[in-house]
Amino acid sequence: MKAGRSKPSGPAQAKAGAKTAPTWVKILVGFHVFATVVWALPNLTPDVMSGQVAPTGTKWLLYWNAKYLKQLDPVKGYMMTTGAWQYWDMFAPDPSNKDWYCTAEVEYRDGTKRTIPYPRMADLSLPQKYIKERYRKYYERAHSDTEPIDWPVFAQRMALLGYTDPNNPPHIVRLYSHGLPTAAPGLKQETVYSNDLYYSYVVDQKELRAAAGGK
Amino acid sequence: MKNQAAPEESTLRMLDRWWFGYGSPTTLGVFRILIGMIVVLDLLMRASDWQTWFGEYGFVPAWLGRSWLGNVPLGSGDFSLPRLSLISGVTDPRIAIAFFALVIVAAVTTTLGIWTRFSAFLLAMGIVSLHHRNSGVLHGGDTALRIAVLYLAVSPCGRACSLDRLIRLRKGQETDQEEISLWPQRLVQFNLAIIYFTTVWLKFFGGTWLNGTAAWYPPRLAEFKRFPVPGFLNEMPFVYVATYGTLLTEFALATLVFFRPLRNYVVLAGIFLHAYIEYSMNIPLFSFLMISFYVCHFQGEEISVYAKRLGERLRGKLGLEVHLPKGAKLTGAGDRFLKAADPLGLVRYSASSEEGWSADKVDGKTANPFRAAAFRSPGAWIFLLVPGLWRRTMAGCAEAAA
Repeated sequence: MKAGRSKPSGPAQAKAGAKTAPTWVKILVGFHVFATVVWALPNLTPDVMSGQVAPTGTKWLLYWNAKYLKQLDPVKGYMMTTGAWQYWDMFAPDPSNKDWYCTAEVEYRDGTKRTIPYPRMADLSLPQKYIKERYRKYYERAHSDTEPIDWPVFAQRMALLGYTDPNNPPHIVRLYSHGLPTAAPGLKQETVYSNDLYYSYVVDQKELRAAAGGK
Repeated sequence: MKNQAAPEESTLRMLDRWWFGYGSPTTLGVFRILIGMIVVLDLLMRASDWQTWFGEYGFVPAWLGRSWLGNVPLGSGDFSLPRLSLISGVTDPRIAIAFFALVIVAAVTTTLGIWTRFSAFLLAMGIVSLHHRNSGVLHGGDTALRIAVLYLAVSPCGRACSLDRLIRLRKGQETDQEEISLWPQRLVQFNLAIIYFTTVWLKFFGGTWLNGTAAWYPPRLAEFKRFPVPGFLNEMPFVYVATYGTLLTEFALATLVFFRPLRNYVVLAGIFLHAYIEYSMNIPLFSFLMISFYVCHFQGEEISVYAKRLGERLRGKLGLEVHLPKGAKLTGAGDRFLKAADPLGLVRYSASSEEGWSADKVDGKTANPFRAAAFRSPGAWIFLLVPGLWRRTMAGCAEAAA
């Protein structure tokens, strides 16, 4: 095929008279497109889904999609098992307006205390923060009230990071979250981060020793 | 070949041809290289904290990863399907590290286009497995990356811009650029549109996008800051411009980008949007990834033409004429191989009366023909890893005239 400046790119410019893919490919692609649209359409808030608030406007469509189409076994099974699952909420429905970072206070067997830092992007150099950004992402999840299952594992890991002396191992880990909301335009911006203890954890010494062996 | 659909053709038929018609595989080849490079970078960046994110004593041991993304219950819950993962339940770090290394190798071979079908398939399995192992560190860009490698795995993305193709050409197993059904490329275009469309839709549920202040917040988050931007860009009224401009651009990237007369402008706006995000915010590789998707809005034939045009511009400075030894000429397969290795068309091969190989640059100076030709031929760069290989390959493209 000879290249040219005005080659087609949109459906309206598709060339006529050419062959197309086999039917079985079209069926599979059609199913994938259907499943992807169903899966990627925005979810509604729990109050709408539970019926406490009636959906309005386009939310009816999303309500119907979430309640029925997303529950179809072929759609759910296909999207979730193959890795095709996707949901797009970058900066949506509103961008985050709060900075978060974490510190862990480790109390050792002898009663001494030490603060173990968890990488904070604002303190890192430009190359480092590019490489370490997943720490920020993970902490978004790991300190959430809806994810308490993550907290003991997080604390145990921080204990390992603070482990230096087998005779004086970390005994208790206290996790603190530090947050600072961004004030809306025209409002006074606070500058002091909160300092909230959200979890205290007694270190699993057996696991700590095992982990320290392969640290 | 006509560029316009026949007048009597139905919309359905037209869509059928757009989705499933045949065309140049060059776009998918370029897409494969771009995505492959991003995956390699992403994996290398993750490697430095491998134990942290994938180790049993890290933040996400295997059992925790499974508790987030376990089996998928179907029907009334009596039956469930496991998620695709090649490292499900693996707790031995030696196996996990070996797997991670294998995925990096697959990313490299996919990028280069070596055993491309197998490499891309292995890469997709690897990325899906890693994402299913620890989904807690994934952002939107990771999801887009996973979708991209899945599309590469089901596409003949090695038909162009690949070492596989160069080898086929060199062996004479391929003569012309074969056309492929373009549905994998269309899937990338479609998925990109879905990304932008659904995110715009979701933004309409938020107050700050509607009142125009959404762009006020991200620049003020210390954890996201990257390079400094002039202060006025983060103040009113520019915040309104940035907020509504983002919505408009994203909406256009989901819709108007398919309208040919506007496509280039929409793509440029998208590049500008993501370049600004990349500069000002610390969201690793996200913008590079999204911009890489845009290549699929261009036909392979167009990309080849762009490359030739770029080559014409560069030829004034980088053009090279390689003189074959006396009495030698390029074989058919050799000619096709050298042309494919040099997509910009910077090197011309001609007969000469000299005994050995020689080359002239545009300024009249002579150059080492093998080294100078390799420098100008991206397809040759991989050959340079083995000393003498490019020289032998290039020499093998010529034969003594009868």
